[in-house]
Amino acid sequence: MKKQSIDHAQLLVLSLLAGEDMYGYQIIVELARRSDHTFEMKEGTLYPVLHGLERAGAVEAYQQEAPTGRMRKYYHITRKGTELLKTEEESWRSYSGAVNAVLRSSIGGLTLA
Amino acid sequence: MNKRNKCPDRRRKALRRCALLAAILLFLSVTRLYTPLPGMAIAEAADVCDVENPEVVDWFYDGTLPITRFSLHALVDGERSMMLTAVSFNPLAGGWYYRAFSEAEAWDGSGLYAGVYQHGQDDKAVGYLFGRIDDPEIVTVELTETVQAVLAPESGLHPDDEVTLPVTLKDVPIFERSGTSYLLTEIELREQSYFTRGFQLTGYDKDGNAVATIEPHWRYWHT
Amino acid sequence: MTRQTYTQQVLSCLRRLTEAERSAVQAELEAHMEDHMLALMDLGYEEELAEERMLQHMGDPAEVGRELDRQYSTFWLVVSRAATVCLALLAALALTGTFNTYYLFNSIRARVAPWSDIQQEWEEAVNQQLDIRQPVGSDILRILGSGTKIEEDEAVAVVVYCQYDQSPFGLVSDRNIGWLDCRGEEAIGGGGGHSTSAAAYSRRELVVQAGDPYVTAVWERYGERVELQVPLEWEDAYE
Repeated sequence: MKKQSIDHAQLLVLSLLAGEDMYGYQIIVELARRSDHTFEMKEGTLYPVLHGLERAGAVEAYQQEAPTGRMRKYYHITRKGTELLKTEEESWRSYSGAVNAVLRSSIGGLTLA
Repeated sequence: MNKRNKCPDRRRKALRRCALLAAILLFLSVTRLYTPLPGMAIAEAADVCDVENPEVVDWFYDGTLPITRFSLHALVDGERSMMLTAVSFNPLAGGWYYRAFSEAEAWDGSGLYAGVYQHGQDDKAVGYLFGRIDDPEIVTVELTETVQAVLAPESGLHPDDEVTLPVTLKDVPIFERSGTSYLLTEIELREQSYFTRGFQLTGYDKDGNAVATIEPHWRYWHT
Repeated sequence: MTRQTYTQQVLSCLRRLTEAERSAVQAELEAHMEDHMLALMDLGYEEELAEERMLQHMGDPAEVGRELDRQYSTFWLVVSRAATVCLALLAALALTGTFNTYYLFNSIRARVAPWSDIQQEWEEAVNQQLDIRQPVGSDILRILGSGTKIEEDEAVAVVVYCQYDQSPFGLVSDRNIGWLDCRGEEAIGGGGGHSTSAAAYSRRELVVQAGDPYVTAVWERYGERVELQVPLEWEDAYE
């Protein structure tokens, strides 16, 4: 059994950060872009997600100057976060594989578009 | 990735502070700049009276003297010697420190080793007989004291001569700890202890025969 | 609703956060809203409309605040505060001079500059500076110098020495050193000294015979015996 479970919002944010370090607004934009607007969360609720990941030790934050001159808070996935992501991905894959298998068998061979 | 200006979260901040605290406490303890534990004061007393590899056999409290109200007494066994010491705690004076000690030699194979500890303050004083019995034949002991005859006018001797008088032991002196027999008992002190010239301890077997006689080393501390 | 009122509403729900954490959250939210508004304004929106649209996407400020507050555990804050109190206490103790720096100082001084703790008359009594170190038990016996003088009919040897623990953090034992002349007989004499828990300095005057090449320091403990010869110089002794 998993030691730590994360919700799907945290999983999505974590998988984005696995690619590169990002700041808050950038995460919102990327999430919408890559999921073709399927996942569009209320922007304010991103921050509880990020701070929760930070508390869990899955991400760490640092400050960097933005082109506008303002200081931006960037988030970086940690080694612990990478391992957590891998575990979650594996269980998601086996879960979705199981769902697909059940659906295929019940519809009797018809492939879903 | 250049991780400048890391934002510390609560956990990291807390762990950093605890690590700093632990490092400082360790440094202070190793350098004896501050001794937060009574065992450290015992080690210091052992260093001063040459007790090697000290191990505390028994802790006890004796608050008779005002100065020992916040002290712990310890009977300490070492490789070739023993010690009775009183350690006190003062958080504003370096932590635990030794107040008084008395040592006993325990290397010559006689089977009976002892020392006498005396500590006085103003008009109060406490005394202890302590030691170790390695000879299994010895079941009881008797302590005597050689004093100047001025303390015993009924003896008829010249005041500068010496006379030997018995010393009352307040408790049963012998007890066992980890398979070894130790001596520890409070003794009755004479009022004018500066006339003391020495002590003698005799160990008797169960038939009442004297098995060993030694002259315990003694120290008198005056606060 | 404006940006400012949104931020204030979020902040008002953050009960568990410290001042510093609260301003960090404020800065992060403001930066986010500014980024979104700039993106909208780049698309041609007017500032007011951009703000309105942006706030629609932000979500309920009370809910955001509550969820954010939940992410801050009191446990680590308590641990952090407790550690800070202890550190402040140690700092206060350091300032009140409670740390035994005196002993450490004397311990180091005996090793590095022993003569700095020795009075002038002792220095004058020595006509041969030495530095003989001998481990004795858990301490080191360090002979600093010897001197000789002839007073009336008596030949006297003077030895100046110190003792300190082998560890710079240890205490010196209070065991006395005995003295023999070069014929193996006990040398009588007097002397003096001063000591701290860390180091003990002594000066001994021993009655010997003129021309004796050395005196012997004797250290005994529990059947263990160490002897150390201290050489004597007689050239300057004759006044």
